[in-house]
Amino acid sequence: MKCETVQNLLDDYVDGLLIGEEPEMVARHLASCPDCARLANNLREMLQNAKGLSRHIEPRRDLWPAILEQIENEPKRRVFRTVRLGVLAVAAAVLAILAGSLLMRGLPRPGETVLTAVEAPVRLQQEVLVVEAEYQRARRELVAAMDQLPHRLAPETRTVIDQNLAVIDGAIQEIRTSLEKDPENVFLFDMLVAEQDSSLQLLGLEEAITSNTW
Amino acid sequence: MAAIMTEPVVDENALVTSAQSGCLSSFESLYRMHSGRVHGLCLRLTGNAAVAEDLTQETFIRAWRSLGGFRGDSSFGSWLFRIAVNAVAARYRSELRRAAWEAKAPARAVQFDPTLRLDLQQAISALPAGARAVFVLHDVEGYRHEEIAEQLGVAVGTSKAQLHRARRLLREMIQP
Repeated sequence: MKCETVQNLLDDYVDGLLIGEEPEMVARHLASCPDCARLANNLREMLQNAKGLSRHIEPRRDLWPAILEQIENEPKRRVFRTVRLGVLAVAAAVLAILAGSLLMRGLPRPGETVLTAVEAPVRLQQEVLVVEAEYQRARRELVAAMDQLPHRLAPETRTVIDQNLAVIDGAIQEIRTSLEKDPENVFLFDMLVAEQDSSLQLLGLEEAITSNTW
Repeated sequence: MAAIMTEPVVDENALVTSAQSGCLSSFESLYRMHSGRVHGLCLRLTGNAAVAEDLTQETFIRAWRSLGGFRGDSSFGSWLFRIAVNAVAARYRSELRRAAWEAKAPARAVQFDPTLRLDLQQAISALPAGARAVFVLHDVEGYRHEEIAEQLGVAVGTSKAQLHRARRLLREMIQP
């Protein structure tokens, strides 16, 4: 092996990257060539020194005040985001409370139209289908938006929204069960109208997430 | 009986969690723990004290902005280091690209006075940016070529060529 070839292989040789017969051929050459052996030793020594260089070098001045100033002067994205997400969480909670409180409502209000025994069940069943379809669509879009854009929601906010969705689901299930027992109950119909409003608000949440307007 | 003096135990994970919730004082503690290491890397990679301080500052500002995304898959120090290398690479992107091309040509010595024998630290600072970055990351910090290539946005072959060039230039500079 010629000196020039060995010197070109020297980096890989000291790094242990040569394969096959090359390491042995280089070693044999180094054993018989003082110039190349000296180069190899110098390289090893330099690499040893490089590994020994201090990796911890303090800056000449304290950089923290400048870092702090820049952080504090930045647009309050973190705070803003938290506040806005907090509003959304509250909105979701309000929906849940609304759905739950409606379940507690009892008697008809004075002056309200009361459907006949024949009309009411048909109308209510139709409305149930419409309202549930609307709610489920809004719910799917909201969940899809949250899944696709998780970085726009703090984990704790997502948890709150999921919990509130579960409460709304529970409320709908209770209304459904109540309607099965009392298909002529107009107040349950009112509840479903309220739920429809809730679903529209959920659509608003989904738009806020996808358009990043919070 | 002599009082036993002990260093206060600092729970880095707790500091990170606290900083993630917006606590600047915890983030300052993290800065105090890691600033020397980050600055050391920036200084070696750039060879310029003023630029290194600027990049150290930038690293911590970027870290603050991205803290919410830190999940603890690696240590906080490693994560910070990665941000620092990215910051340096971004600053010198054009210089590194140019250096990558230069690496394909036969290595030539940088301008230095051959009568002066530089120490290793000075010699590293005198290297061209691309060669310096790869040498520092590979031979000082212990990164593999694949990791360097990924971080600097160059091919693995370029990283190897730059290392070869850096070592050759350093030998010329520091050896009589």
